[in-house]
Amino acid sequence: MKVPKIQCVCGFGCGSSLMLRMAIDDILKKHDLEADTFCGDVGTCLSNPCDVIFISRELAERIVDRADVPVRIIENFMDSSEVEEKVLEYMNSLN
Amino acid sequence: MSILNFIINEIFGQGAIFLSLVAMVGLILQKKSVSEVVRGTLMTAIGFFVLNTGTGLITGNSIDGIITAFNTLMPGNASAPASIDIGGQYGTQIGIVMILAFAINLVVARFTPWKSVFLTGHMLYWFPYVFIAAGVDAGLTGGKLIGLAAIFTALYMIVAPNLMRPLVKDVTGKDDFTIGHPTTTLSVIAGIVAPLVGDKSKSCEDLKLPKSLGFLREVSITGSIAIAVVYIIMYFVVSGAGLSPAEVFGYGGSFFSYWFTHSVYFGVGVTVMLQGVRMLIAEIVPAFKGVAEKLVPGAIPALDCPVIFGYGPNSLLIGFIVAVITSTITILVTRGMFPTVIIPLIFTCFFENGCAAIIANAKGGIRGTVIACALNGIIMVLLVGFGAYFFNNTIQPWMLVYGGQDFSLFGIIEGLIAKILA
Repeated sequence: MKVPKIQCVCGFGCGSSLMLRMAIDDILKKHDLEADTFCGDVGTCLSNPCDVIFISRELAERIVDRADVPVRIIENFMDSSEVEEKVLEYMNSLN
Repeated sequence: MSILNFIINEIFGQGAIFLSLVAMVGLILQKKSVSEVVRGTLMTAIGFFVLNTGTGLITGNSIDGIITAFNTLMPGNASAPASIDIGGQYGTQIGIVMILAFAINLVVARFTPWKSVFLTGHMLYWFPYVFIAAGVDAGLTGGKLIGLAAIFTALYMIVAPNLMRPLVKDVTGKDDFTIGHPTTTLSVIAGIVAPLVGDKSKSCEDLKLPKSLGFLREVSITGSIAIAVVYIIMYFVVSGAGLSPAEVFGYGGSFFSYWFTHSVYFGVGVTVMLQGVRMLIAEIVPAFKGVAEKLVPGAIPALDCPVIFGYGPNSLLIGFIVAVITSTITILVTRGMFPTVIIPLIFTCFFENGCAAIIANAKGGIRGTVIACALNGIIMVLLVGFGAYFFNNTIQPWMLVYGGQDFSLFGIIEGLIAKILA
């Protein structure tokens, strides 16, 4: 199976999205799952090839109409149980 | 000796190589695969040059005309035309300061009740950058330069997140993270002023704002528009002074194409710079975080300010608009008072002041937000103006875009001390 590419997006693509990316990496490792993760900013994220975008609610409304990959909304980047639930939900949807 | 010289000058003397080595060690410590280590190490080096190219585009292809026009109009106040390329020439010193300051932060977090660990990736780079620049500007070199910059970076990384912690708690209702970001000066002002003048029960978040203002949140676009407006004003000021705009700005064809490319290049520079920062820190921050988790149990991460943007999108937008208005008025009122041109501080109004706006709303509602952000708009311009005395030989063009908050305030304080030491 192809390894999914997960793009984590915030306003700048280097602060909170990086925290989210590291949280997702930890979760993937914990559950022995494999995915490529990388960061993007909300202005350019739709031009980066990926399989899914994880993004906060207030930024999501700016890309959701134009995105051609699934957009998953994370209410609170710092809530590890929410991130875990949504990452697993996405990974399970691939099978 | 020649081998030693090679190591000092060619390896540690090249910021790109030094930071790549930091990333490589981090990746190896995290037990990544060989392919990941090679990829991450080289990406860090590429990111370093992309970042410098981006800042070069902003200062060389976008705002350069505004600065030239200003210096032509006020030759007595003109800053030195050849500013020192801090990012390119002092990359290694920046890297050393970054590591020293982070190590001090970890020790303090491990052994004192100040548990915050500074993890805002790009700020781990920009604070050493600013503090090295302030030292170089004052004439410091060698050990003094690195020592003073490291002390300032470490103090900042420890004090600022602990000042932010109670304010963040007022916004989120929780105490699981704090903010590590140059918003601290503006946010503390907001935290003090807003409750005095406002009523927190009348929140900005209860208002309905029009969706058509949404494009303002794209800073590369808002920034380009602001630069375009400043160029038009400068065009008329230059013409009004009896000078030829073509000669002052140095364009051969029409003003229109010069104006258009210089405005849009602001957005180009920002986009390129962000890409570089992202590549540079994507490998370094996880390594720092891994080390922090092992060494400091119960650490509280100090994060980038947008992590609280979700708590107050309306406050953010209201604060942004208010600060853009008051800062622009302040720029017009104080014109000629400082030895520097000042252009609208779009980034500071959005990110640093945005964070302050959300804190102001939590403590003083709509009135608190508007008054605190109006005040912040004035303060940021004064900080950039006074900062010119301390950054005119080094990074003043960069400060025109990204200063006006803690970078300016603490850079000024360091500059004062550096001038005594130099």
